[in-house]
Amino acid sequence: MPKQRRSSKKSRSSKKRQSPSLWQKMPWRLLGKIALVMAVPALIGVAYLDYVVRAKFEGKKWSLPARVYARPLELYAGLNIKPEHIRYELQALGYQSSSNPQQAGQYRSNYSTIDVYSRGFQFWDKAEDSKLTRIHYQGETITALTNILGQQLDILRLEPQEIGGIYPTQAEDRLLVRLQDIPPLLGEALIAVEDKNFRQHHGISLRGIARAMWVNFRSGQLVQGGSTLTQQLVKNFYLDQSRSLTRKGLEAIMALSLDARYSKAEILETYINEVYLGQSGAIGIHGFALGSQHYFRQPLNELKLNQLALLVGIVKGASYYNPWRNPERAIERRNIVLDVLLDNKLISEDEYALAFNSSLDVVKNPNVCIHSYPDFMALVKQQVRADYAEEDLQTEGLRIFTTLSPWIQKQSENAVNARLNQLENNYALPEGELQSAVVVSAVGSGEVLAVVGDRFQQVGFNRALDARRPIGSLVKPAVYLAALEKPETYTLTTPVDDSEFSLMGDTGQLWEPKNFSLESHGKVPLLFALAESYNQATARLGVDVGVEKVIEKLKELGLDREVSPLPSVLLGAVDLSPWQVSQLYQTLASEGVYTPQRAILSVMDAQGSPLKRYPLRPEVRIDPETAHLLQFALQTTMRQGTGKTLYSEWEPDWLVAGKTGTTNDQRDSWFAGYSGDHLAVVWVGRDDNGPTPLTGATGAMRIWSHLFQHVSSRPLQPVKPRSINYLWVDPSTEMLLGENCRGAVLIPYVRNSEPKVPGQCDRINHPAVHWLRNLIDADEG
Amino acid sequence: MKVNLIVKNCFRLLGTPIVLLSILLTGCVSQSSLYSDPAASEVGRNSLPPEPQDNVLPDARTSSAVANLVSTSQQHYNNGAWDAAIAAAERALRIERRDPNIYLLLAKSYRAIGDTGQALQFLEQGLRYVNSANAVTARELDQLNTVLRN
Repeated sequence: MPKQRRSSKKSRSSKKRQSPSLWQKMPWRLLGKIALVMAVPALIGVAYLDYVVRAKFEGKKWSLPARVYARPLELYAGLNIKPEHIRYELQALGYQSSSNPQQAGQYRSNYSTIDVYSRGFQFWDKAEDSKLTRIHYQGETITALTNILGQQLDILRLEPQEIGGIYPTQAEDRLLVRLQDIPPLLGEALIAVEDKNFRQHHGISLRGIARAMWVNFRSGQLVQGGSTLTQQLVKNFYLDQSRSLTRKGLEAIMALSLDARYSKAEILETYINEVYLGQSGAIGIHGFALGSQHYFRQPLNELKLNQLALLVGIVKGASYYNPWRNPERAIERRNIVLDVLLDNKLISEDEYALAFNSSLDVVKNPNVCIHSYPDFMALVKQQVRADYAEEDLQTEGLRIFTTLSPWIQKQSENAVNARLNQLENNYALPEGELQSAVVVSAVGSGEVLAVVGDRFQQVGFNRALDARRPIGSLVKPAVYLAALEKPETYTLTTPVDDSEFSLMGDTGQLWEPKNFSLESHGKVPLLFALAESYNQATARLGVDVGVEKVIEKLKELGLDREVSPLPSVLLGAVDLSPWQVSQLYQTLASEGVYTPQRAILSVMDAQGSPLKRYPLRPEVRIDPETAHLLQFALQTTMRQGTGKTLYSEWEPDWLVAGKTGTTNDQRDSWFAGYSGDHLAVVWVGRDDNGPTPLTGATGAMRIWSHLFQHVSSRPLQPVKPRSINYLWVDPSTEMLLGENCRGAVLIPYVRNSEPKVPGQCDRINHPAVHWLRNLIDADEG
Repeated sequence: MKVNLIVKNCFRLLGTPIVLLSILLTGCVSQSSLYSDPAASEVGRNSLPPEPQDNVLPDARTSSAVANLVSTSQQHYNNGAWDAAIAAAERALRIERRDPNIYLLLAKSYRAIGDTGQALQFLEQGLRYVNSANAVTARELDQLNTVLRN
């Protein structure tokens, strides 16, 4: 029977050959082997992606740049402040004017009151609550602060303005916001518009993709994307923007992983903090909280429906829907979002109608953003880098509180602009030829209120901090300080010789300083030699006192560099920046107490816990008597000396002290002057160091004057030390006179250095008349 | 009526001497200055800076804000919160930088944290601003000064 078997075999094999199925064709064994081999690395890959997802999500999620704040505005009864200044600060903080302030971030301004509903803020020392306060004022003075019950409030401290940040080179910026602080409608809106099935899907949504395709096809435009919020988050958070298939694959896996590991709430919160919403120069705006500031200059929780809808719409494409460049597209997109919200019953018909008919409501000028104080920021960075590593500054989300006064900064910039234009006109100079630098600080505390480093506010050369110019006559107070420290030898009326002067140097060179007017004045009282800034008298006095002594005084005043002890130092052949000059005059303005100038008050961490405070650390360096005499001389400079033209614009009883400075060929025009509250140092010159037609008084002092006319500053109120006596004397003979004598002036002397010899009195008024006059004056006083 | 009579008689009494005095004094010779500078030539008018008042009191208008902060600082000090006391005192200084009470608080706080050097600086500065209006503070400043220097 072998024959039969063979034939059956044959028939079986022939059956196979006739119809092999596709299934049978597949080299399953081979595929199986390959799959097994590939499974391991694939599994490893997925595990790795999972790790990446977790690590970034749970670790420090973002590198947060340091945020920098101006000083908070403190209001109290008795403060001199222009109402427009208060309104300026409120507007800069994004406060909205309202006829009836009902919530934080609103204010109302009336004829003699301003009602402010402040936002509250966690300061270093305490938390200020959000509250409604009425500011009563009269003219330019606050008369009272009251709450809604009419009770007196002592101080109102507004939250500080944000003025900039310290960014890493990748330049992303965001303000973190937690889910509980996010307006609920925002989350719902995002889900409704971007990912309707967010709550149900597992990271990717096939239904979502299908629906998006259908909706887009139906409406004929790109309404929805197919990506879930999770996928979008993965794309932005972990991956780059490339749209390759591999990327999409990775994105999908990571989205699944993210969804598996974290709650919807956490994913949504991260999304809201991550999404790209716009560009501010080189800085990318990420997250809704910062987006809200960028577009509306208001915090997220104060946005109206039309504004919120716009932000949600911008998610689709910040550039494409840019409300400033493409307002029509932006409004259309916003309205689509409003449609979706209405369809999903997230808003009412009325709310819809109101928002639909509203304008975009974005701030007018997108370039006046949070990054607009480059010169002051340069100073902040300089000071903060001394204590914090660059990486920490760029990534830890530190909050840096500074001393900047935005109002004074603005007034300084305006003063520079206005007066330089005027000077160029008046002297027929080419437009833009002059440059300037200004440093303004608070007397006593050394807190820097404003820095102007460039007339055009460009980022670049910061003349206030980095330009080194000969200071000329600004050095003279150091010479006179050295002299007046020895009252047994020098008083304000000691005659100094202003005749021609020459000095043979060690190298055989002759030094022959000349007065600015090229005239000599013979013997003059020391007081007037300084007030009139006579070079010859000062040089002689300086040589008598000793150049080393003068340099010692400069160091006491706060000079932070070495100076070669050359005689030319006596007339200011020392190159300093306006910042360095400001430090010297700070000490003079505080009656001889040195306080290092500072721009930073304190640093807190990202959570708001205090990290470091920069306290006030004054040092008494000059005795009060000497400081008082010098201040008298600097006041005389303004009343009668080289600065007297200032009073052509000021009331005579607004006391100030100051010093003008003009260098050779008038290449530098300097002025350093202070009131009771503020010190400002101004420099005017040319970047190419060319000569100008300006002196300290005709150039820099004009800017100073303009600035102080726009800043509420109390006049100088000198303190008379106990061992100082004011006496009526004839300054040229140093003889004692009386008040009623011709030629008598009132001069301060340190006790035991007063003149002793009485002079002959040429009476001006009849004694009785004089006596009566005094009586009447005393009554009126 | 009586008052008028008294006044009339007073004038009668004094009138003669005054007239005599005037005659005497009008014959004075004027003294010319050796240095004819702008200040001296201003007849009868002194355009130099005025003599400061003896008592430079803190501006009364801002005193409630300062008092509030000084009181806060004092409370912090009493509770041993030295840094907070210093912070509040600095805020007060920004409003009124010549109130000796603020300097006293700062000196005490710095002493409490062991920075005697800085405490002494504040004391020295505070003593510059004392006057008859704050005699108690003046004494305290003096006492602390003595204590810390020994």
